[in-house]
Amino acid sequence: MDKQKRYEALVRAYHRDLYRYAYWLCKDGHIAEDLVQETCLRAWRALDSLQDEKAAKSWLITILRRENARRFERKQLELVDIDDHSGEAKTSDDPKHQHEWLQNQIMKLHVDYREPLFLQVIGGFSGEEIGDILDLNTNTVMTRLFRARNQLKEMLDESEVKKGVHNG
Amino acid sequence: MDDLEIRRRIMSDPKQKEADTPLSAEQTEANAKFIDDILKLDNQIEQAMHVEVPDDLADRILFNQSAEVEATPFTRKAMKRTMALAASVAFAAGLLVGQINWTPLVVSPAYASLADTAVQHVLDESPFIDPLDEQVSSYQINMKLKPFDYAFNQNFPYHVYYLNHCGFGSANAMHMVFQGEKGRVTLFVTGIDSANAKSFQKQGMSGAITPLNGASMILVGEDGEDVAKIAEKLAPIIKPIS
Repeated sequence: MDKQKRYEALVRAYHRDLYRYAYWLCKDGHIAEDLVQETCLRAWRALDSLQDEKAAKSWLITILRRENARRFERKQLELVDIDDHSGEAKTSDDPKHQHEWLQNQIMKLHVDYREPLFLQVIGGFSGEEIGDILDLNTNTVMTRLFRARNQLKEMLDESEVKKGVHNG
Repeated sequence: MDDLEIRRRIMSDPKQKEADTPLSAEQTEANAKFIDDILKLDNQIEQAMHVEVPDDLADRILFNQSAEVEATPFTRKAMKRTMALAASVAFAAGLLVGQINWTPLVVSPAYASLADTAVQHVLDESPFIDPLDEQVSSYQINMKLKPFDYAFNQNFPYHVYYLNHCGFGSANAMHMVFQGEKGRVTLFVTGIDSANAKSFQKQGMSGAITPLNGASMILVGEDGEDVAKIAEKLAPIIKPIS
């Protein structure tokens, strides 16, 4: 397969996961797209260094992480956290509302927890692979995954309790 | 493994994909509800993380890359700088064009368009007209000139191959081809006004515009044809019909 076709296949296969990963990293759709664009361009330039197609996904993710780090170096400022959107209590059972509420809760997780959670749930990577990508040992990754779910579960339970109080 | 440890494991890897020592049947059973809850939570997390991806993102990514390939050997930064510079120059040039009254410096639009239209017409029609020799008489010429309220007051001094009316831009013209000093020369008389006599060189042809009263006579010959001289010869004999 020539380079161009190989690149197109990669882009078509992974651009969605890359975009979502970027989105959950930087919390902004526009920045996420810029990150994905820049990541793909770098991938194009370095495509010959990708030997094994099976490693493509983690390779792309690693490029994107580096791009994101560069973005911070350039800007030297922390992004402002997304507003809390009155997400304190899950006040409605409407599925769309619940969905948004959970998205907000995920955004509230520290990126150290959010990132491995994404890589496991959406990326389908093992703890060891996540460790390779994030440059952490597997135990640390597993601990963070536990904390990520634990925090989300607590937020959920808490809102259930609040709802119970409101309703009772 | 105590209960806390079991739950910890479930929460860090609910699908138990990488447990070296899978939970025993009893442990699984004892924690069935918990496992279930966490799997449900995971399912919700997965759905929540599946944010919408812009429809045409893949196409835009591929476009970006193809633009980069075309831009080689420039680096992207150099390309951006070049484009920025070009844009500034174009912008400044645009401002200048808007600010300065160019009329005295270049051919005014009316002349330019008369000359352009004439040359284009000659080029477009030459394949049809070049082989013709209709041996047109001076009488026919004056008949065709009548709608423009002009006539030659002497016999036309050159041999005329072709004569017709034609569309001339948005107006009409008399279109005539005659033998000049060197080659065939095309003459247009059109009801479009022009202010000054003017000669021009375009697309390998030389031409001259002679203003008439409320009309123009345009001559187009091949390069090297002295159309100004022909114009000088014709101008005194083309007269308004009174």
